[in-house]
Amino acid sequence: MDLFANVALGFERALSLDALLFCFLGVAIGTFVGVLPGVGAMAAVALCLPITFYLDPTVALIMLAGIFYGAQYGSSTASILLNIPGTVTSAVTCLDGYPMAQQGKAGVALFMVTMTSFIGGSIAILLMMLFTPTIAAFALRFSSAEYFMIMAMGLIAAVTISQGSTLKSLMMVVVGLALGTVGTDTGSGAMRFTFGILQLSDGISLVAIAMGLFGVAEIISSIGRDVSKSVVAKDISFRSMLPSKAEIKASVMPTLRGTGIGAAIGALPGAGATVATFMAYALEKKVAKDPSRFGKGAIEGIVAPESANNAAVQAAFIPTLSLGIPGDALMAFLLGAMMIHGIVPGPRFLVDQPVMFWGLVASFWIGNVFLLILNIPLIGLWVRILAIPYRFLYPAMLFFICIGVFAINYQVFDVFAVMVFGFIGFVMTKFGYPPAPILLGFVLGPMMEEHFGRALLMSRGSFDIFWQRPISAVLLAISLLLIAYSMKGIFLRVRSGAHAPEEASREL
Amino acid sequence: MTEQSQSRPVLNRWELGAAAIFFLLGLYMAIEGSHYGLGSITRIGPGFFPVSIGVLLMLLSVGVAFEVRHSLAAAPKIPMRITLVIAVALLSFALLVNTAGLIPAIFAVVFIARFAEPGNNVVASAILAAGLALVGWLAFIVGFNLPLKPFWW
Amino acid sequence: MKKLIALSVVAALTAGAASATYAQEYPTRPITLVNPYAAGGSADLIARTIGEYMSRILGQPVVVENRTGAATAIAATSVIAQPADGYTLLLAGSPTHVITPALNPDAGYDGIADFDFVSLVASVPNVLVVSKNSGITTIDQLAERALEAPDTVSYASVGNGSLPHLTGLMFSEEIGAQMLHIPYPGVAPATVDILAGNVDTGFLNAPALIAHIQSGDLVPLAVAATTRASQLPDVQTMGELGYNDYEMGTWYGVSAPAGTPPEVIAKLDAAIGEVMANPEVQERLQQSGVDLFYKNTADFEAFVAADAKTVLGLIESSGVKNAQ
Repeated sequence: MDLFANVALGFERALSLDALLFCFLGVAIGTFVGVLPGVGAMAAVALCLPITFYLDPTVALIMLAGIFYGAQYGSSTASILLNIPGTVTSAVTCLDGYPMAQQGKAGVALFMVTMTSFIGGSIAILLMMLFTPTIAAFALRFSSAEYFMIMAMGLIAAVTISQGSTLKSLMMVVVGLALGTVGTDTGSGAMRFTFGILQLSDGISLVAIAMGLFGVAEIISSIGRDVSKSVVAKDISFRSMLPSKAEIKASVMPTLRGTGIGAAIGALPGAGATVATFMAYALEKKVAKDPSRFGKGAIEGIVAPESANNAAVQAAFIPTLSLGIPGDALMAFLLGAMMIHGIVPGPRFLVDQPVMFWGLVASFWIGNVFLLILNIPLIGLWVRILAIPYRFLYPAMLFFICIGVFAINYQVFDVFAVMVFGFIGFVMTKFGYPPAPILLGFVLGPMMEEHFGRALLMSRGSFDIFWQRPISAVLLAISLLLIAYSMKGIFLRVRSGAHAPEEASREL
Repeated sequence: MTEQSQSRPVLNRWELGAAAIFFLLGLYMAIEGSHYGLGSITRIGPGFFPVSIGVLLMLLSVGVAFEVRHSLAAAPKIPMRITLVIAVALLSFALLVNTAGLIPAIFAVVFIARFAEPGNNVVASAILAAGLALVGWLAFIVGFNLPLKPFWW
Repeated sequence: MKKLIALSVVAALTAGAASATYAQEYPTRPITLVNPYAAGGSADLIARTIGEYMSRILGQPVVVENRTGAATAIAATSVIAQPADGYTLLLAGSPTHVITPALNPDAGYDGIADFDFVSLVASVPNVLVVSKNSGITTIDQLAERALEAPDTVSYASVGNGSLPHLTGLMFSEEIGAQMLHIPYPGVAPATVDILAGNVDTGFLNAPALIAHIQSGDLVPLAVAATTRASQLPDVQTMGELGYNDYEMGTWYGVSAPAGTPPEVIAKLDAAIGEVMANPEVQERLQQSGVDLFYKNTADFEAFVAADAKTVLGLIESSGVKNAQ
């Protein structure tokens, strides 16, 4: 009963005029920056922070959080329409979203990701209302050994994501790991592969890699291939956006599974939404009756990662608010914003600031409703983008990629990096090396190294730590099973030594 | 065995070459990484991961080479003109954005990028660049307050 | 020849006069205060608070610009690259001026010679904490346990060569017991592992710990500073507890590129001094666990020189640098 009183308290705060106004403003800005390729939520939140100094702390947080989860809604738009992820978390959505758009089902795809984003976000918010203290306590039981195992599992799952050669995917994961070693080593502080370039001491920019491998590579391969479609009026009618019964039915379970994975990964500080999207996609491919449909416009391939993404983003607030422990840079930033307002999130936050906590949680749900209302009518507008001739579209996309990459650290160097990775990404896809696993390897590599090193430090060099802790042991077992499962396919392909030409030189 | 003697598959040089590049990358990582210090099992050094990755990369590239040795994929065509033009467009943005300002950088990107496809209309490019300049100025300088000047003065 | 001398005298005189009027008129346009840390967090709070109040005194906006990267080297080098005219300032700290130039060979600048120091502003104390489940309640018990079983008691830091690492080194050197150093990428994950009992202890930044200390999950043993932390008035300093006085808080100040006109520096220092005397500012900073620590230009220079000596000595003797 206490819960209902609290929820009522929260909605009372979140439904006040100022809260509603800034919530809407936040999610609208979020959608906008999410749609732009390269310009992410981080830049927008950082740049909006000074505005919020003049607001009531609860309202300020409602707005900043709105930008954050709003960006996740917008980010899939560019993935589906242009094969360029709006943010890194929607890179996986490209794999099946873009083929859907090419089959004339862009409206359906956008509608479905909006709906599943809403469902994923809503379920995660519900979990947050019911179980925040329990989840937070559970997250504390994860030490470096568990983190390492869950990341290893994520990498192994990622290998199965791409079509074609498993070995090539595996190699791309390792290339991602290799790129992740550039910069300062967390353990020792040593500089690795920096070639004396100061800008490299923090490593290569993740956004530069993502925008290069996906964005610029896609632009190079699309120019001259005239991908623009003549969009006829019926393609943008409301009816054309509505999915068929079969499509809805096929989406229910993937959405729920995606939400589950997203909520679980999101609640762990540090694992991150990107990993959740990759794992959700890999799981769908594993459980599908016909995995070969993936990569060719399977609806499960967009709804699972998108629901995972939004669930993860909402769940990431759990450790931040209840433990005062931010999972990623963005959460650290929101935590900082709270501290600027004189509020210290931590174990006592729920008790000491019930209006703020419950008001924020209630606003998440209101914000998700706003996003639904905002995004459904926008679909018609986005689909029209497809009607613009590509020769007008690509210079604009190049500009947005440039400014987006630049805006993260104000570093011109990152724009050079985009150029290099654009070229590499283009050549690689021509040779049948998929770019998506590189991204995951790059995100996870430094964290895996850090946790591996720390786990061994804690166990004084004994590998027992990985199987003597129960959670870690379970994760290890799952990983080994996944490896065993993949081995058969690899062996068969290596022995034959030949494969179809269209597979090797397929487009991104 | 009998199948092979019927039509002897030829080795695919392109695919093997690509695998060789990854092998060399792995080799470089392993050698360079070993200079960073491997550390001990209790406290792994900064070189431990790079060396492991390098070795793994070499092993995988050998595996891939075996897998693709008879691949039927043809040599991929790389459109030199498009690649070069896009690279120069990005380069011009990088060089101009801090020196000449955001708006000249936008014009440079748009006007250089148009050479990627033959027969682009100059007027259309000018309109596009002007539109992007307005959006860029409003959104990123006025709105988001990025530390950028619209022009060099 | 005479003509040349006369000319140069005239030039020097006009330059002097120009600089005098320059300083009088300064500032005529917005001032940029570059913060080497990400928005949010203690550094940002300090930068934005003093920026806001400085602009009221100086009559020009003070714009905070976050330029993160390369352990503060990106911000430091970007400030040096600007003209020394007082319009670009740096939020200074041990990392910008002492630690990073010493540890990162790519940094490529001299943290002391390339800068003029304006004033010291604030300090965030590092607090020695243990989990409530550890059974340890005093620093002596911790020292005893570390002596009983060398190399098993572990302490968290925020990276090799970071202040928490160096403070931990000083402590283990003082008690004469080897302790196991476990580096983390930031104070948040380090706090989690202390809470969960995966690491035993650590000298960590107070603002991240206060909520957990108040809830009783973390037990504060000592403050590694010469004075107590304003947010934790009951926690004794290392000196009070009979250990060496560690002045190992994270300090923040304002610096400018070397060659900034002294009149401009004086004007800035006066403004900052006035800001720091404002009770509103004091309350705003202390509320978030930041302690006031104002020193004027001359004292700040001496302070940095002393800090550099201690920190560089530790880096040298501990082999932190060689470990790379």
